[in-house]
This record gives sequence, C-alpha cells and structure tokens, in this order.
Amino acid sequence: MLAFLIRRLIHAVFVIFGVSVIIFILMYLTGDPTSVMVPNDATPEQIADLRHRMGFDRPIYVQYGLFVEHAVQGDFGYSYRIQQPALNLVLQRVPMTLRLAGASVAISLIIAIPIGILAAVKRNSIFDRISMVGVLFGQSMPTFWFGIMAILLISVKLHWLPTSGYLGPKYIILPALTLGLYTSAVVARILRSSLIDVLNRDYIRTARSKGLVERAVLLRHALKNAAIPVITVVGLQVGYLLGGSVVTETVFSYPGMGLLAIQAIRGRDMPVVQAFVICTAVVIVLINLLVDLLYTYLDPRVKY
Amino acid sequence: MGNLDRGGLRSRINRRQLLQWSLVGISGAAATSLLAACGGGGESTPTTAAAATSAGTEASSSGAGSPAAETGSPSASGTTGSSGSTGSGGTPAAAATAKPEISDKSVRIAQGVDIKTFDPHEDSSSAGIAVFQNVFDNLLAIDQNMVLGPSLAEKWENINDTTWEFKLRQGVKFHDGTPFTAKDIAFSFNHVLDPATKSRQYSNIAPIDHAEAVDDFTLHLVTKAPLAPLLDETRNIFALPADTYQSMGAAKFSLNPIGTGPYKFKEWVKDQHVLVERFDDHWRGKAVLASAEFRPIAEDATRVAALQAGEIDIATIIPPDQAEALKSDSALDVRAVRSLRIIFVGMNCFKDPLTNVKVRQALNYAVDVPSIIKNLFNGHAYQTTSIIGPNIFGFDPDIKPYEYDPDKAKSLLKEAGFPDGFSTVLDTPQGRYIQDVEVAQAVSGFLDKVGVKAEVRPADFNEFFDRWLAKKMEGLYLLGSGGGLDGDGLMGSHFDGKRRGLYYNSPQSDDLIHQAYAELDPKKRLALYYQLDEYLKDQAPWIYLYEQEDTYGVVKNLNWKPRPDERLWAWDMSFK
Repeated sequence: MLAFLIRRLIHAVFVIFGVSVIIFILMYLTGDPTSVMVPNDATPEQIADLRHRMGFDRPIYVQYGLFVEHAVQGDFGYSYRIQQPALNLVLQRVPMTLRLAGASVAISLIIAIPIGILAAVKRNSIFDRISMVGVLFGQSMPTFWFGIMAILLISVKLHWLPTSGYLGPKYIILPALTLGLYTSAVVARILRSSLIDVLNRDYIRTARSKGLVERAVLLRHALKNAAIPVITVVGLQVGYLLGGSVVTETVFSYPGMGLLAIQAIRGRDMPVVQAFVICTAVVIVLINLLVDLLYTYLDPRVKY
Repeated sequence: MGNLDRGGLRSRINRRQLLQWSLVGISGAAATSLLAACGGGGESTPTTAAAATSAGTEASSSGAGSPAAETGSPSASGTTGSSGSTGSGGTPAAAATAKPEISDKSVRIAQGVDIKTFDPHEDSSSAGIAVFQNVFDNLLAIDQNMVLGPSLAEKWENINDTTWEFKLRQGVKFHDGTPFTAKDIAFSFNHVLDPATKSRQYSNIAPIDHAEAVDDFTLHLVTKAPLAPLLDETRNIFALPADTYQSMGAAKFSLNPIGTGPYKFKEWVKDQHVLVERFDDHWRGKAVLASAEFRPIAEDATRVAALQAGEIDIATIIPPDQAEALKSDSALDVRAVRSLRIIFVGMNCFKDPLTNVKVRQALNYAVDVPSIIKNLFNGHAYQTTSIIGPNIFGFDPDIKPYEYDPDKAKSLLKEAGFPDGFSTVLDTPQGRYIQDVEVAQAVSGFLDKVGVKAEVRPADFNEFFDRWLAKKMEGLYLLGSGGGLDGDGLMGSHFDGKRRGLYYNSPQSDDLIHQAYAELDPKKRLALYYQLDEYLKDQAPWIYLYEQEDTYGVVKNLNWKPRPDERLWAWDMSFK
C-alpha cells in the first residue's frame, strides 16, 4: 500500500511536470511579453535591457528552470490585471469551484443511479429506450446552451431558483445541474451496462436460486460490484468538471476559478492562466489518487 | 471462487480500458471547453471591463454651469443647455424638493463587469465610475441633462489666468463622521497629480499644476497655463478623506472606501456584488432608497434573464436582439438614451500606408455608414461627421459626412500608389460596445470591396485598451470614446501630440488644439474648434462611424431615466 502510494506520488510529479512543460511552451509560443510591456517609442537598447532584466534573453530551458524554481515555491508571479500574486487569486477560488464540482457529482449521481438501475433491470423496455435516448441527449447537449435554457425555464418561467451569481447554497443548483448533465449521462450509461454485465454472472444466478428476493439480489449483491467502473468514471469526470467550470461559471456568473480563468485568458493575464492550469492538474491528480484508494474499500480483492 | 476470479479479472480490464479511454476523453473535453470558452463563449459575453473610456475622453465635459459662463469658461453649446429636466439630479436644492418619500427599498443593478478596485481614481472605466459616484462626490456635479452645477463646491471663479478659486460647502461629512474640508479635496487632486500614484485619472487633470487649500473652505486649483476646459476636467476627481486615506494606505482604502456621497460602502465580494447603504448624514439629505447593489453578470442572456426573473431592477447594455424580447414583458421597460459615446475606426497614421492622407480618405469613402446603422442597429445610432459630435462643445453643424463612394475610394487609393489595395489589421474589443465585433466585420467587408484586406482581430477590452495606450495598434482599430461634453476631451485623448495623440498628431492641429485650450472666450474658442473639425475631417485620422444608443432593461416601477454619461446614481432612483 505504501509502495503504491509512493509510486503514485512519483507518477503525479511527472504528470504535473508534463503539464508545466506544455503550459510553459504554449506561453513561450504566444510571444515575448516585453513587446507588451514597453511603449512603441522604446529604443532597441531599452527593449534589450528589459528583456535582459526579465530573463527573456536566456535559452528556453534556463527560463523554464527559473519558472519551475519559482513555481515550486508557489510563486507564479503577479497578476497583470489585479496587482496580487497569481496563485493566491486562483487558490481563493478553488473552494468555490470544488463546491460546484462536488454538487455536480452529487446531482448527477442522484439522476443517474436510479435511471441506470431501472434501465438495466428493465432492459429493452420502453423505459430503457427512452432513458438511453435521454442519455444521448445529455451527452451531446452543449453546456452553454443548456445553461441558458435552464435559466429561462427554471428561473425566469418557474421562479424556482436564482439565475446567476452566488449568494447562498441555492445558487449552486442550476450551475451544478448544467455542469453535471454530461456526467449524469455518462454514469447512467456505464451503470446500466455494468449492471447488465453483473446480473448475468453466476453468483447472481446462485443468489437467485437460493431464493433471495430480487431487491436483495440487486442492491446487496449486484450493485456493489457494478459500482466499481462507475467510481472510475466519476473520478475521471472530475477533470471534465473542472474544465467545464470555465463555461458554466461564465454563463452563471459563478465566482469560481473558471470565471477567473476566462477573465485571465481574455486579458492575457499569463501568470493567472499558468497558476490555474497547474492547480487544476494538481486537483485532478489528487482526485484520481483518491479514487484508486477507494477501490480497496469497495473491492477487497484490489490490493496495491 | 473461480467465477469470482474471472469476474475480478474482467472488471480490472474494464477499469484499465476505461482509464485509458477516459484520459483521452477528458483531455479532449477539457481542451474543448477551454477553447469553447475562449472563442464561442466570448462572442456573446460583454467582456470584462466595461471600461474605461479613454481616460481623457471620459473627463471632458463642458463648463456649462452658470457660474462658469460668468467667468468666461466654455459655456456649453445650446444642445447641452438645461431643458426639460426630469426631476432628480440637477442642483441639490431642486432635487431635494422633488424627492419622493424615504423608503426602505433597495435597487439592484447588473452591469457586465465588476469594479477593479474601490479606489475611485484607479478604475477609470464607466462601470467603475457608475459605482463610485454613489459613494464619493466631486467638486462639481453633472445633472441628468449634462449640465455642470455645484456639488462640494458652491461657487467658483477664475481669479487670474491660471488660478481658479472654489468656495466649498460647509457641514459636509465623510462616512466616518469626520468633516470635509479643503484639505481633503486638495489632497485628492494632488494625489492623482503625483506621478508616483500612477493614477488612471492623471492624464485628465495633467494640465493642473497643483491644488491648494487656502483655508478650510477655499480651494485653489493652479493650472500650468490658461485652461479653458478646467471645470470639465475635475469631473472624475472624487473627494477622498486625506488623513484616513494616508493612514490606511491606498491598498487598504481600496477595500474600505470612505467618501461623502449619498451611500456608504458596505460590502464588496469580488465578482459577486458591491453593496452600498444610505448615509444618513449626507449633505444633500437622505437618499430615497435604503441601499443599492451592483452585480456583475457578464453573459448578456443571463443578465436579461436575471431581470426577467425579478432578481435585478436594472440591466445595462442590452443587445438589440434581447431588447426585443424584453419589450414583450409587461413588467419591464427598455429605456434608451442617445449616448455621448462615439464609435469610430482609428488608424495608426504613423504606419505606412496609413501615413498617406489619400489612403485615409479613401477608407472613409469606402465604408457605407448609413447601411451599418440600418442593418446592425435597426436605425438606433447616429452617423457622425467629424471628431466632435452634436452634443459636445465645439461641434460644427456645417460639416457634411464622407459619402459612401467606393469608386472615389478606389481612385484615391490609385493616386496614393495602391491600385490593388493593401493588407492591414482591424483590432476590436469584444463585447465592450454594442455589436462591436459585428461592426468591425462590416467595416472590414466594405474595405474589402475596394481591395483593402483588414483582418478583424477581436480581443478583451482591457487587454486591447492596454495595447492601445502602449501605442501597439498596428493598423486599424475600433474604439469608442465619450462621456465628455467639451471638445478638448476628444482632442486631448486622440490628437494632441503633447497629450495622447498616440496615432495621429500634426503641428497644425496641435497649434489649434492648444489655442482652443487656452482661449477663455467661448466665441473665439468655438471658432477655433470649427477650424479643427474641418481640418481633422480632411486629415481623416479615423473612419468616422456613429454615436451609439445606450439601452437598459429596467423594471417598470422604477423611476429612473438613463443618463448619457452611463452613470448609475442611486440618488436619482425611486420606486413608484
């Protein structure tokens, strides 16, 4: 177990290292920031001087080394737009986005689990077909459009929930639903196929032949095994949820790190963009690790 | 057991495959969402900064107040005179008598963006100033009809060519209870004038040498040279409490602002809301509404939905397609006002081939402005003829606009040595002005017809404007400028070589600008602006486009008329 943890942590370092290389190269390709920093009438000497002071005249690997050196100390530089450390700006928003992602997972499970179970049990029934069409719908609907439609229906027509912003827990429901729509579709589909698979196993037949009521067979024996791939998918969906928060938070003016990221991208606020990408990568890696550890509880045969 | 083992193996394979597939899927999904957010999402989002009109332009207004006329300052042209006042606003006395009863109601306003800071001289955007105006007061106030009148200053005159004396109101209190004196307002001016402050308002008042508190209630503003538009230039300088500001420091003050305005600061949660509450000891009297809340909602459709859902009372910048939807709602009004903001396509006249005046004129002949107004604005915009528009002091009514004449454009290009046109770029902010990117695309389309390829490059307004300020525009750029009532504002921020003539200036226009600037006789001054208007129309440093109309969605039971200068003053609002 400990060996596994260590292995995974080393693995995580490599993943984050890879992400940092990619984001650094992308930034390098967008050009030399000095061109944005000096006035047009600056002399070539002034530009060269600034480049030298900022370290932009060094080879790319040296610049990358400096970037890493500062980054591991939590120093991504100051935001160009708001004179505050970029990492602080991002970290302040992390709880808001995690709360949104958590609510999305919760909402998508509440929707997906009953659908998945019913569709598997009543395979090929009308319910199964309708719900699988619904799943297709949920998987292919653009978040942006669904968000606006949800606002118009639920907030404007029905007045059930507020349209946007964040002034309390009920403000999270609509964005979480919007963000979790895709996840719930994926989960419902995986749960259905996994449950169908499990229900055909021998031990289920044994359980039934023992005379167990169908409810006990399903909930006590089948569901737990069928849940393993679902957990995997949900864990992996966290990456999607964090990426998707950019769009969802914009539509709902939800003050998380996605909204911050979009403002930073639009304003070419590179330190903030870098801090956002690295933080996102760290969160995804950690959550995947957590999912792996969760298997040992769900399935005693899984040992690391 | 055997079965179980088999099952375990299968589920592991499933898991491994899933991991692999999902990794691919996730990176794809994350990348797509990011991309979508950058591109697609951006299109319909009024970008961040509501922004800053170029600081200079925002500052200019006319010295229209009657005392100004006596002292020979530019009395506003007829168009800005007071007529048909709508009640509130105006002079404090008039406002006080016309005010409805004090209520415990609150107004909720959604703009497209949040303020950047609560230090009122560090965010010069119209969205920022719209909020600051509630908490801070200026030396002079501009009423609904864009007439300057007394505020913290009751009387003023220029006692010699370079010194203006202001007699200040007594009994004014800051929100922390300390009395307001000349020392405070003098500090506010000198703070902005201090180069170390790097204030966004600096360029507006740069011609002022210093401010001086003569006694507790007398302020002198000393200018470097005779300065006709002085009164206008004071309009974005807010009274700060000198001692408190200095002891707190700028950073802390920007989170705990204290002013003399009708509302005091209560709370600012970044990207969520700004909340201000009625200040009971305000010198004008108590405000009608108990509080005002400003929420940033970037997405147009969401802002409109919030209004329809009854969560807000005012939504700013309603795009034309959404305005139609709002009109059908019986609880809501669409209220429009002819803006002081003009939209134009500027040119970097120091870059070839735009250095050639014939090329610049050709571009003006190439664009069919009436067609843009008709097709993109449904007629809700007004073609401009030259730099200074009809509501601004210095407007020459005899100037005719460039007519749409692509043949003439082609022949001018040929004369200039570009018979086959040329390639350039057209930078534009995205979501800052109504249909900004669409207008840029339309202009680019018209230019294409005469052989000029202008690549439209949309960008975030803040980023765009920073580049503009840094003289980074490479060819054409779409920009709006306005808020002011005196021609000098536009001249200073766009054409004066000594101020911000970043993309065009010439000795001839500089000379006229400086003469008009120092001329204290309004008639002579107007004549100078007529010359300038004509000269600059001919020089064509811009493709002249139109004045826009600002559209607000407002709940029907709110008494409030939108202002041409985009300020959202809760003092002016009440519920029926």
